[in-house]
Amino acid sequence: MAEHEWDKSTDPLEAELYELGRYLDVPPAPPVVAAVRARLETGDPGSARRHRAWPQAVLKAAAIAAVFVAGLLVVSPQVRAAVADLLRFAGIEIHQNGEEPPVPADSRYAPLPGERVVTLETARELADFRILVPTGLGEPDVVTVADGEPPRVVSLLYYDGAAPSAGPTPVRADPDVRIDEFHGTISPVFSKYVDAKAEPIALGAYLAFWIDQPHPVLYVDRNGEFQEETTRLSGPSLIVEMGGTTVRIEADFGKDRAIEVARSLG
Amino acid sequence: MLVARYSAPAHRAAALLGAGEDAEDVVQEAFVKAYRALSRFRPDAAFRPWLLQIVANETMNLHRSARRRSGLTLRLAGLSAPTPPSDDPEGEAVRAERRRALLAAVRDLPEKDQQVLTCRYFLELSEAETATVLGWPAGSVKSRLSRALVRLRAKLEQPLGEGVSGG
Repeated sequence: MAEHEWDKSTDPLEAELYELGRYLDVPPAPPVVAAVRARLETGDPGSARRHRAWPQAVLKAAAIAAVFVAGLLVVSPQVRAAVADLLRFAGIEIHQNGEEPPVPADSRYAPLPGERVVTLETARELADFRILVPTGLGEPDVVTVADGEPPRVVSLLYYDGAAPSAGPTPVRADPDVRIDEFHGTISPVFSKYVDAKAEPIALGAYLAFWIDQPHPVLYVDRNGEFQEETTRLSGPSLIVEMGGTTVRIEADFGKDRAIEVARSLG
Repeated sequence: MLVARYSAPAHRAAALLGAGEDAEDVVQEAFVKAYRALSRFRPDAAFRPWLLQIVANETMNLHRSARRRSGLTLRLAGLSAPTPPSDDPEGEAVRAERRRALLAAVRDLPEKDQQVLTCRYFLELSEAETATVLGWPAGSVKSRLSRALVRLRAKLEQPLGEGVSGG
């Protein structure tokens, strides 16, 4: 969103009406996430109505989202103007049109906390979520796990030329494709700062988001702490949640190729 | 899921446009339709007004099918206190009273006036988006809006004591 229209209005009544809108409130919305998901899955328009037995994670998700979004409705205009649009999707926060964290100059890569190289089999044993591999790209050249045991993030790295020799040390060369995977829960794992829109895309039964410009990204740990040393510039990326795992595909190929790769995940 | 970020503004839009106690169902139905229609979403368009348009359509459908929505625009709206609290309580009390008077005046206008004011100022939709959301021809938003503002100004200039409490 650009500056608010009321900034350009010369009619004081119009400015008052815009401001009144900021103070307008309605009775709070109940959590709708589970009801919508249930309706989509069963295909029955009425069956999810008044559904009350929401699972704990969804209630928590809705509560956190509702608190944040309610904040956008109720704060004073001055405070609200400073709050960026925030889109939370499957463990990734996408901040739009707000302040960005400073990105170190040479920073297409920064290691995640405790990042180490393992084999794909080991990653599968360690992770508590399903790791999806894109058949369209084949097996990854390098696999890393990061942040604790069980690891919070598993990354699949692909290199067009020869892969760097595998070993216990963190990978430093820029991969051509980086796929980060983590449990699709609500607590944020990555925070992205995007100047323009994140474009929603329907991938079969799944919802995905495509961000076509390089943008700052940083890691958020399990306590919700921003890990500033992980701040770097992400290339264009596609985000999709499939069956509880969030997949973040980062590469310089365009949207169509990214969609193909995402469709081949399994 | 997309839903958690947008459900409160969508719920607010449905409630402000008169969905009443059906606001929850309206929003759920709108989200299901939006999800299924995602392939038709034009990438160069903004997502929020596209979604709000679907919400508004669903709200209007309530009216068309069961006349449950007639005259309910803004009925659920209330005013929230400023956050953080002002360090100028007297000035803030004056401004709060002005907001109350302004909201009361808007709610006293004809239904269509309330709808266009709600779309343009409270939901911050553009003229074109308002026309689409309300299903009106493009030019009529502008004319209805200017007449609504004229009527609103006249209401606000009523001397105290003519049907307005306080003194």
